[in-house]
This record gives sequence, C-alpha cells and structure tokens, in this order.
Amino acid sequence: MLDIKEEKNGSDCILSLSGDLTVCNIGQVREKLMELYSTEDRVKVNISGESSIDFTFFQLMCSAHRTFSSVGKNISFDKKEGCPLELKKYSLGFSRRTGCSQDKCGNCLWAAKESV
Amino acid sequence: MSADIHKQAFVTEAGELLEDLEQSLMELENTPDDSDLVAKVFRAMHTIKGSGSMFGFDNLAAFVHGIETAYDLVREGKLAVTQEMIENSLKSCDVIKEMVADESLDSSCGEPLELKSFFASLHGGTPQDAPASVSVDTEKTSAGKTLTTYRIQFKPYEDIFSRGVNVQLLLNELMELGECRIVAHPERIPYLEELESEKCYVNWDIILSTDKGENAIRDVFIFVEDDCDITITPVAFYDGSEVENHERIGDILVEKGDISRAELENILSEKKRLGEFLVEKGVVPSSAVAAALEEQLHIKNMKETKAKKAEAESMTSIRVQSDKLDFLVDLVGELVTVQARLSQTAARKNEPELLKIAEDVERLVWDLRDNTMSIRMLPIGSTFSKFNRLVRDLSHSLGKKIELVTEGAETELDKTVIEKLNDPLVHLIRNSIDHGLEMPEERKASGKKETGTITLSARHSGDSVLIQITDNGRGIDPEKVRKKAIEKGLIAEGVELTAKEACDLILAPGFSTAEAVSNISGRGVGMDVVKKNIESLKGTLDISSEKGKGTVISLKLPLTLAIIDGLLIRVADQFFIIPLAVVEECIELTPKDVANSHGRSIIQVRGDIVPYIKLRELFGIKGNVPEIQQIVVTEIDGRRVGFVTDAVIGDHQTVIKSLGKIFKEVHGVSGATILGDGSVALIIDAVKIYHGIE
Repeated sequence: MLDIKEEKNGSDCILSLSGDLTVCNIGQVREKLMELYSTEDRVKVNISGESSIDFTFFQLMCSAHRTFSSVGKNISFDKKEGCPLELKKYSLGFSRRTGCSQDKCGNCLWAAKESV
Repeated sequence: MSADIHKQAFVTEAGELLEDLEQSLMELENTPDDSDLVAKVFRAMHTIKGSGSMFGFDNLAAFVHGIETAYDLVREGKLAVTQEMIENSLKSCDVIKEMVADESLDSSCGEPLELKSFFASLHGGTPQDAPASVSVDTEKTSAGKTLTTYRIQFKPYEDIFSRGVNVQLLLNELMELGECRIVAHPERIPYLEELESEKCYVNWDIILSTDKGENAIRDVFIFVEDDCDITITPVAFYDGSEVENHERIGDILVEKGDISRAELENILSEKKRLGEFLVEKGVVPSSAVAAALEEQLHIKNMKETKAKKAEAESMTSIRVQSDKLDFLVDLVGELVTVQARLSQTAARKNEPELLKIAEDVERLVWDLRDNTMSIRMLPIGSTFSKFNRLVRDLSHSLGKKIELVTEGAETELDKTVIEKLNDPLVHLIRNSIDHGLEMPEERKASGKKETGTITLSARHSGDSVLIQITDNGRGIDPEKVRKKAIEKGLIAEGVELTAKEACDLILAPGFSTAEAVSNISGRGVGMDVVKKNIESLKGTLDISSEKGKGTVISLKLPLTLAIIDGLLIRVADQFFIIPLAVVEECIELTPKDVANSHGRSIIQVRGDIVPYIKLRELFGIKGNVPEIQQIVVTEIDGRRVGFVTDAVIGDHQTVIKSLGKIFKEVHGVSGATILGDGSVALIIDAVKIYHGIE
C-alpha cells in the first residue's frame, strides 16, 4: 500500500510518501516525481510514514536527483521529521563521502554531509 | 607427515561437524520449513564432502554427494523435508562416522547403498552418481581456515527484480559472513524520463573479510547466478601471505580493470592526487575511486585489527592431541613425587638455602599441577548433546513421547572421567526411557502430560560433580521390587521394603523388573555394572524414587582421577593416604576415651557420638600401639566416621597410581602413591571401608 501526498510550504513542495516504497509501488512514485519535475523547482521528500523501503527507491531517488540537478532544480529529503534511511543507505552501499560524477550540484542525497 | 596432520584435523573436525549436523537434523525434524536449518545442514554436508575429498576420503565424498544434492534441492524449494528424509539423514550420519573412522569403507552394499539409493531417488539420480570432480574450496578448508579479504563484483542484470530477487537480502547475507564494506555504483542510473523503475541499473563492489571461504560467498548468490555477473577475487590474506600489495589505489584500479597500468603511469607522472585526478580526467567514475578507497581502508583496518588481536587470538585456543596432554599429566605427577622428595630432603638437612629452594619448587609445582589439571577439564555438555539422538531414536522405536532437558552443560570435569562416563549414562538414560517413562496413553490416564521429561543435569558440589538423571515417569514400585526380589531369592518372603531399600535392590546383580526383556535396556544385568563403573571412577551412585512421580539417579564423581589432595597418616611403619575431600577434622584418641566407650568403637565429639574404625586392626598391622592415637574424622554419605591411626603426618599431593589387576580383590584401598623417600602409601577407600563394615 502506498499513500502519496503533496503540499506547498513557501517555495518548497513537500512530497509525503507513506506505506511501501518497494518495487511493487515504485512506478507510482516515479510518475509523481516526473509530475513535480515539470511543475516545481524545490521538492522535499518526506518518508517518515514509510513501512518498508527497498533498493528501487534508492535508485529512483538517485535518478530524480540527477534529473532535477541537470536543470538547476533541487530535490532533497525532508529531515524535519526524521528519515529512516541511514541503515539501509549503508547496507545497500549508497553511503559515501562525496557524490558521484552525476552529482553536478554537489548535494548528493547520500553523501555524509547530507546525512538523511 | 603434514598430510597426516591435516587428515587427523579433518577427522577431528568431521566429528564436531557431525555432532552439529545431528543436532540440526533433529531440530529440522520439528521445524521442517526452517530455511536456516536447511542451509546449515547443506553447508555441513558440503564441508564434509569437500574436506573429505581433499584429504583422500573419496568414498566418503561420493556417499555424501547425493545427500548434499538432496538438501540443495530443499534449499531451492524444489523438495520438501520429510520424516523419512530426516530418518535417513541421521542414519547417514552414522555411516559417515564409520567412513571417517575407516576411509576404506565404501557405500557399495548394505545400509550405505540403501541410503545412497534413497537420496538418489530424491534428486532423480542413481546411486552410482558421484561427483566427477568434487569441488574443493580454494581457501584452506575446515582443516585450517584463513581470514581472507575478497573483492566481490556483483553486476545484476537489469531484469533481476522481475525474478523476485531482493538485492538487500543478498547483501545482508554477505554482511553475515564477516566484516563487509559495500559500495554501490549508481553511474548508470538514467534520468527519470528514461528510468524503468522496476529495472536495476546499479552494480556493486563488496569488500568482505571472512574465514568462511569462497564457497560460502558463492552460496549467497546460488539462487541468482543466472541473473547476474559475479566476480570474486581474494585480495588479501591475513596469515602472513598476500596476493599483492593492495594498499595503493592505483594498484586496485588496475587489477579491477578500471584503468590500464599505462594510463596509471601516465597520470601519476602529472603528480596530482590520484583519485581526484582520475575523476577529473574522466578516466574512472568517482564511485570507482570511492570503492577503491573503501577497499584500501578496509584492508588497512583489517590488518591493524588483526595485528592487535593476533596475540590474543593465538592464546584463545589451540588443538592438542589428548595423548600429549595425558603424557604431560604423567610428567607432572612424577614431578610432584620428586618435589616431595626434595622437600623431605631439605627438611632433613635443615639448610636454609636448600629449604628456600624446596619451598619455591613446591609452589611452582603446585601451580603447574593446578594449571595442567585445568587443561584436562572439559565441559560435560559435549557428552550431554550426544544423548539427544539417543532419546530421539529410542522414543521413536518405543512409541513414547519424550523430551530431554539438559542443565549445567558448562560444568567441567576431567577428560578421563568424561570419557568413562559415557557408557554408564547411556545405560541409565535407556533405563529411564524403557522402565521409567510411561506410554503416552498411560501418562494421560494418570493425569500427566503425554510427553515425559528426562532431565540430565550437572553441577559442582564441593570437589565433586553431581550428575542427575531425573525422569517424571512411573517411579519405582517397592511392592513390585519386593515380589521380584523374593522370586529371585534375594530376600525372604514377608520382608517389607522401604522405598530406599527397593532402590538399592535394583542395583543388585541380575535384578530386573522389566516384564519382558527388551533391546532397549538390556537384560537386567546393567545396573550393578553401572554402579561398579561409577565406583571405579571413585564415584557413587544413588537412586531415589517415588511411585507415580518419577526417579532420580544421582552420580557423584570426583573432578579428577590423576592427582588429589590427601592426608598422609601412619600406622606402625606403614603410610596411608586418606583423600582430603572426605576429611573433616583430626582428634586425639586417649586411653580415657577408650575406657569411656566401654569396649565400643565410638567417641564423643562435641556432644556427637562418632563411630571409628581402627586401621591397625582392619589391615592386620602388628606392633606397639601408641598411648595417644589419632582419629581422622571423615564424612561419608552424610555420616561422620573416624579412622584411627598412630600419627597424622600432614597434607600430601597424591599422584594416584593404579594397583593393577592382581590387587583388584583388595577392598578398602583404591590405589597407591609414591612418597618423597620412594616408599609406597596406600590410598584408603574410606567409602568402601565404611560400607563394608556397615
């Protein structure tokens, strides 16, 4: 089960994802991110309501990050309500000191300075 | 020579593996869907096969191959665990044990062939199917595992998720194998527009340090090997050897094929920080450098940690032939004797310098003795665990429901005692199962749980270990015992028995209360033999029982049989040792005490009447009786008994020497020891003397 909500907070668009962020639902999340990419400049993704996350969500967020960055837009995790990615990030090998070569803006979602 | 050592190591480890395997199989019998247990059984079979083949046990490897294949199918979910499969797997363990003991045994006939056929039928093979070439782990196998760092390059195919594979689980499994660093390479992830979110665009480098071997790593990917590319490369060993020097990033990148040696040399000539420079030049993606850095850091850390732990680890445990240990104990025993001689000589010469040396030697020898004896101490749990199989097999063949509970498995006992304890315990447990515990219907009818319990417990009790076998079965019926005893002519008609007397009669030679002789507990000749065996270990056996409630069999055993603390005493010119464990105190026996007892062998000790035994009379020793004699007061079976002697010399480290078969009929003496002056002192068996007189 997946629940997708969005709301504006100033210039930020807060995308709240609850439920299963797994391969079964990940297509829906991609569709929503595509939609926001065309309409928003700054998106914050809040996943405090997730019940399970798998690798496909990491891959999707990476893709979204480089897509947004390529046109100077910004996507990041909303850290206000905590973010349960830390352990997964490590165990899936996404934990890193600096962003990858696609990290044009230097604000990689997974780099240590961006601790989520 | 070296091959023999490794072969012996395999034999030893195979024994341990088989114990674990039996345990896992019995657990699997109760939880046949437990995938962890299935994997454990598979791996044990795999190791036995691989290591066996490596050390020339080809028949064994061929026999295990079919079983391993069957469990591989279970792992893949293509085969379900059945009762018959467990039954035959346990029987196979017995066959494997025999094959390990005698490598010439093959499986071409009899039960081994039947078992082989059974497992072959499960995977559609034939009993002749044998591994064309048994795969052998590239790492040192069970005979000597080495911690190795591997670089695992894992490139899943894009459609891997459509096959239901969860990458996280694979990575988690790898992390369970050892110290692990995982680096994802996300460069190929496309923009949102091109992204097919159910596909996988990432590949991983995993740097894993493990002593489990390459096969264990391959096992992790066994279900996905058709859905990915896997390259496993050992990059560092920690046994002193090393594949290459992997401390430089450039070397790592070259070996992985990320750049050529020429490109590296070219870049290095520009004298910039290599990682940054390579990325800047676009030669490698930054994640490749990140992976190389992780690998570099990981190996460095592992080496540092390993170096720090090396000394501690080398002290943790070593495997030594038990013969060598026995020889060491013998030598320590001789040393104790020589030390006693030195102390005696020093005391006689009364030279301060010599006395000081003798004292130092005495202190060191005592420490050496204690340490050596502690090396021989083993937890009794290894013996206990063997009985799970016994209980399982017997309960199945009798149709009884029985649970075995073990307590105090960590209790330590001398190796020799443990070795000799196995047979008596087997007999006692068989008796409890056969005679003690009722059939499920009978238990239900008497308001008990259908499943009976046998509790096997061990605990320290002073200088002894108390082992108890407790069952909650029908207990011993004194009336039934009485009738049987009359029938056997052991007691006269009309004699009434207390519960305790009934229990004691059970220990009489040839006594059996079983209605029918069964192959479980034998022909009723066992209990007296068990008692003798326990007594030969300087132990005691006691039975207590309550009709309808159950029976408790208590074995009290000494911690060790090699060296004991004794009290040296003298009667005329003969020396004796009384084990210090039973000694309570020493008191004088004056002519006035003798007169007060009016011809009876008793003395009042602080208001209590203590009977005594005159050793001079007991052993028929002639000579003058000193006016004031000494009584060594002991405690036997909760009662105080005195042994009258001419003089008490003092405590003595007693190295026990067997008296040999010629003296086996001599009662009241359990062995001998050699004193410092070379003379012999007999070791008094206080318990037997007391029981003999009682």
